[in-house]
Amino acid sequence: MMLEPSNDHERMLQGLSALSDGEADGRELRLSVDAWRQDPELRASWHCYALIGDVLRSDDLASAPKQDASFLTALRSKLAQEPVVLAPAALVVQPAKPAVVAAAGGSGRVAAIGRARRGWTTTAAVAASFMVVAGVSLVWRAGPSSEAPVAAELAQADESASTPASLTESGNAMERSQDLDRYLAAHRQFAQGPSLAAPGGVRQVALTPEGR
Amino acid sequence: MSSLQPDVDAALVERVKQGDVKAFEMLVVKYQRRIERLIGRMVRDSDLVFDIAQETFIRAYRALPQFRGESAFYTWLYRIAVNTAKKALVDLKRDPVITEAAMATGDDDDETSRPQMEQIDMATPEALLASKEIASTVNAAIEALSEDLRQAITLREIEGLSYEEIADVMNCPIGTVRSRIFRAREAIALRLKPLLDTQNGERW
Repeated sequence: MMLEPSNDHERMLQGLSALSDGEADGRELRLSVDAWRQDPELRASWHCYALIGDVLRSDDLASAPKQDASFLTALRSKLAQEPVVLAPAALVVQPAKPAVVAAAGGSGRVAAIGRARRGWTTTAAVAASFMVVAGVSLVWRAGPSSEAPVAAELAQADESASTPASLTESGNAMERSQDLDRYLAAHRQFAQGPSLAAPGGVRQVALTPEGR
Repeated sequence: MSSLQPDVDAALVERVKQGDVKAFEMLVVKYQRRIERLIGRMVRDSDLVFDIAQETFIRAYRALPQFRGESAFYTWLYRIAVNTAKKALVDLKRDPVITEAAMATGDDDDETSRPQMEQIDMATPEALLASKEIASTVNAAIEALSEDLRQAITLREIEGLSYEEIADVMNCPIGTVRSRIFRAREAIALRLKPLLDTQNGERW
């Protein structure tokens, strides 16, 4: 009885088999998904394993593979037009693309640029949080350990700017994130400049806060 | 499958959330047939089933940041499919009798097929024949497996047990369970792939 895969291809197949059952460890998951992306034979095997499971549970799920493949081809072209979903449990930042959500109306222009919060589940959405008040920026910086975020710099506060909900996130203390610290440091320049709501420099990305 | 078990797709879903679209494609390949069958119970036109299924996956992809893992991914996807199909039916002002019949018996938790709604338009007799051939090949391959391999894959795919649970039932290490399930799949795939006309998987 062969217990060890004899080559990389078989190792990847084993990984895909385990992955389809939710039993692949982190490393195996990464390797298997990367391999799936590269190798059409692995993609065919993944489809085959899924088909086998479906047919075992019900004969009427035994669809012809051409239908299945054309479904994926059609979906791929639609997916290519979608902004890439980015909502990891741990914040992974790309300084070139900050998240911007411009708040509507009100005196004292408040533009909440995303929101940073560490949820309690691995599937929680996280985004970076800044506050721009009346042309002056207020930069969040994560406090030490599990303290709530501390407002770092504030100049020329606008009286009419009330504390937005993002500043008083009850319950979810923000844990210190080195990624977030780097991101904030990279954007310290915005602390002096005018608001980030100026067009051209920023872009809305598909990040949403937890909750409806 | 026990609702207390962690979602088998949790790791893949997290991977999608880290920006890996291909991981989402893997989920699509995994669930496309079940989703189409579900929609096919509510909608008879096969072209429409295809369109609604496509829209279902796109909506799921867009909504993934809001998916918090409170239910299994497939459960969540299932609900999106039902809602998308209902919306399509309303939009198209389909026959209200059929719609009501679908919705009246449309128990969201019921995945069993009902004969009166089973008239899925398979487009061609050839496709229907190919499907029957696939089903009989899989079943024959299962019967040809050794007892250990058959039991392992049956416990996993039909009973929905985890590797750990199967190891308990079969009184063997988890590594052996993993190996048996893999070898069962490969043995069945060996018989199945000639039927799948994959031409070295280029289609994928």
